[in-house]
Amino acid sequence: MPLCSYVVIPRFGQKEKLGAALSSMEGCEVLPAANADLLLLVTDTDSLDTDAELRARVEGLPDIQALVMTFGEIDPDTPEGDPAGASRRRSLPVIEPGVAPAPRKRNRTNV
Amino acid sequence: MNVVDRREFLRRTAFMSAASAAATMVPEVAFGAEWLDGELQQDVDWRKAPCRFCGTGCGLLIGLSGGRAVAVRGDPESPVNRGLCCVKGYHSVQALYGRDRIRNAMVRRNGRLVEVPLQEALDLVAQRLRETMDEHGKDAVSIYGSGQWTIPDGYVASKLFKGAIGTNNVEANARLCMASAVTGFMSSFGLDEPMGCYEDIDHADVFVLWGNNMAEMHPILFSRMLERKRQNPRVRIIDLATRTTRTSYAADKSLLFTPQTDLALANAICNEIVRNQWEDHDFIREHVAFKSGKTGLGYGLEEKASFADEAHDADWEEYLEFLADYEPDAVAELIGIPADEIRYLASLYGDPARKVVSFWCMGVNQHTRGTWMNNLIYNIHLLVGKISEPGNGPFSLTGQPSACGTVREVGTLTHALPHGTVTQKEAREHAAEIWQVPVENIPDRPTHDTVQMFRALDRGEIRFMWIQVTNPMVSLPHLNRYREGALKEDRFIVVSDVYPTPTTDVADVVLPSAMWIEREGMFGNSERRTQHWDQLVEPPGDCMSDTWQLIEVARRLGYRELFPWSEETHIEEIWNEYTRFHDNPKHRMAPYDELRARPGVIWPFVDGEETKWRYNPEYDPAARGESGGGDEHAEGGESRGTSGHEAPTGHDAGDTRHRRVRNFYGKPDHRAWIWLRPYEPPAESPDDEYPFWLNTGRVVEHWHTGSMTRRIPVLHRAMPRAYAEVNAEDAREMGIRDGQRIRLVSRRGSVELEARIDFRGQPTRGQVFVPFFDEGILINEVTLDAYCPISREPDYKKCAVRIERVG
Repeated sequence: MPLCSYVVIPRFGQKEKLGAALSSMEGCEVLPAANADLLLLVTDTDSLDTDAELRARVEGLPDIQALVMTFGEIDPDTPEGDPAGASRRRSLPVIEPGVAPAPRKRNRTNV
Repeated sequence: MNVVDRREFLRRTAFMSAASAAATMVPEVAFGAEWLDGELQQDVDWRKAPCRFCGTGCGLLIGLSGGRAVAVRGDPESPVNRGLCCVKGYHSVQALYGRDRIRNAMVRRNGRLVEVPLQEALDLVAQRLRETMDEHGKDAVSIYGSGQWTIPDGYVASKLFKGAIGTNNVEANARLCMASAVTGFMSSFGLDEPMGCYEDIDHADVFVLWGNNMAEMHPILFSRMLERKRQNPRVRIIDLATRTTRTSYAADKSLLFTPQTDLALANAICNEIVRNQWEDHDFIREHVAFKSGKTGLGYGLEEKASFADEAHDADWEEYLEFLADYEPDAVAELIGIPADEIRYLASLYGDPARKVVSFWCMGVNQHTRGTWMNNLIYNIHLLVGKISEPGNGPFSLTGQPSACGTVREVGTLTHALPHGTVTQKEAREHAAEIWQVPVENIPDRPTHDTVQMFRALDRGEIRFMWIQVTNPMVSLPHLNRYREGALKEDRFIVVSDVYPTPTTDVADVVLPSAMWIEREGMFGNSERRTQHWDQLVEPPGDCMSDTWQLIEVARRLGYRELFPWSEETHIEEIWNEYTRFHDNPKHRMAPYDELRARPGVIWPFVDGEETKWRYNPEYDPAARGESGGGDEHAEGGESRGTSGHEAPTGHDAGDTRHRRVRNFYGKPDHRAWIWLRPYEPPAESPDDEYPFWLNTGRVVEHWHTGSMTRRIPVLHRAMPRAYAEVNAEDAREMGIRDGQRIRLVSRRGSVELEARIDFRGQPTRGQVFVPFFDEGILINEVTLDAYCPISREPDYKKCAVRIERVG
């Protein structure tokens, strides 16, 4: 269940319009600055795929000048919560099917 | 804390992180949501700690709740980052909580690592250490640490191995990243580490970045630089590099040079300065000596390569003669930068009305002539006197959080002691007195630098190696050879770490380490700032700090009286013992209580004041009058001849520059040394068989070998795997599309990975760039283990490869 936050810089004069567009998207919560041309955005989705899809939609909004991610957590209580599951070398052959992992394990008995 | 639904708590934390970031962009920003700076903060205990990652040393505030680190903010009280954070800093605490965290000790049985009680593993480490020494001698055992070692970790390691056991087989991975900076400082100034501080950024008019992609590698300092430019449009940022990066896009000028020719470029700048008589003649006459050294040093590729430089006196006329070979028009083609641009660079350095800071890091240091390149940048600043004053100075950045604090200051390299070197009798006596060991215990000769240490492991001269806080089975150059060496029979490898890595894969014993804020510690950053943090959370399972692991093994070896400290107060006791080594105005460290109270303290710390600009009597008590005399334990005292500082003639009589008073007390002659260092070609250049340069480095999302940052979901997703940046025209000629798999092949090995074209960085024609964070794409199986013979630091930036299309 990914939960991420961003600072969103709108194009000049488009803060309100952008805020409305973001607020209308499911999974988005927006907090506009009271005295500056920026917004805070928190996205709350139920899967990595949904999160990626939402982010792509956000990035596609024409009134965004810059989108800066400041926080990202995948709830560790959920199965996909361990990033190592995606990055550990036991998974690497899955990520990189064409790459044979280097022979690393010692076979001898030392202890 | 109030019971807050975990999801709601995370949501608020996410907003808080974003609000903190927004406040760094617009300091007075408000959101009209009371809970943002009210209710949430009441639930969270915010405690200070330096960032775990790069050498910038940002001050963080760690949000604690329910015994867990839950959030991070930049510390607005920290003079380093002033409340800013980069993407790694914001997510740093998540690196504590990866699912595959090593929680228990493991030993290898029947080829497999199996969990054992920690005490049993520590017994085994001590037993094998003792047996190896008994059977093969004390120089058959070694320890290999890191610039991520805390200061107490490194201090205890050095005391145990050099003082108690009696071997100089102590090295750290900082050899791979800043050894050239050390030898550069030592040969030019006689003392290590920058003379200035980050406050220089607030005063400079020109920033020259030498092979330094600060936008990704030091993003906070880069932000400060951009802020300086925003406030003062006259500021200029010059990016000197071999590939176009995010730094290039933000710079006023991006100049791309041919790899290795930065040596010629620096000399060409000096040529142009003296041709125009822009040098500060009074400064040179009063504060500079000229030296020449050996040339044709080789590249350290021989099995037991050794080299010792010699300083010979030179003078101004010899220096002019030396520079004559570097007239900009004559070297422009070699360098790949038009002569007019070289002249422009020289004019920036030479203009008395502009303050100039030069920044560099791995591009200069990871270089087969890394020491020379450091010397040459100092030469430029010394010629024009722009050094050791606010806004003027050469500034060597480090890559690791305590490369300076632990490796350089504690001296966790084979030749070093906490003060001075092992070759200096008085330094050994000083160490023996503080350590309370017989001075004969400390050998008077260095043994192996890092590359040679792993070669010795391969040859069997070293049989036992304890590796802490580093991942050499990803980071060593020419990796195939060193992995095979570690896997040989009768080698015993102990690894202390927090996650499984290719290095734990070769271990006989794995010790579970307490990480960062799970224990108390100190780091020392690039600007001589020492930063302390308390233990903020409990480590998982049997995890134990590396400091205490070393103490436990030392006691098992019979050295309890040398390591008598209590578990509750040992960090303070170690600090108090260690700082006795530096109890002089040139290096005095802050007392423990000061460190605990402040967001870091810059040394020398004299009479309650930080010394921000060394060698300048206006700021540095040690530079005032009687305190000079040369550092008794500094290197570079080999030359006692004339200083060769005859005044340059022909200077402009109308020069209105103020007289700069300095005391370069690191050298016996109280002068900084300008070295005559020529251009020499790299160890390996592209040819018909291997027609491309390979350059390696980092990306903003990942810390070094990725063992921590790849377990942070956001960072992993943002940059999940390594890739090869290929020049667009090269790709077009070879029929390579963006995203296509290619194979990079060198004389040492090959890797397969995706080609990226016009991606984050764009190499010039004939070059490829690959980041090294990905243990699944071991680019160091391709790199070359050539190094600077003076610093023994490998060159990860230049070797020859060919590109093959796959499929």
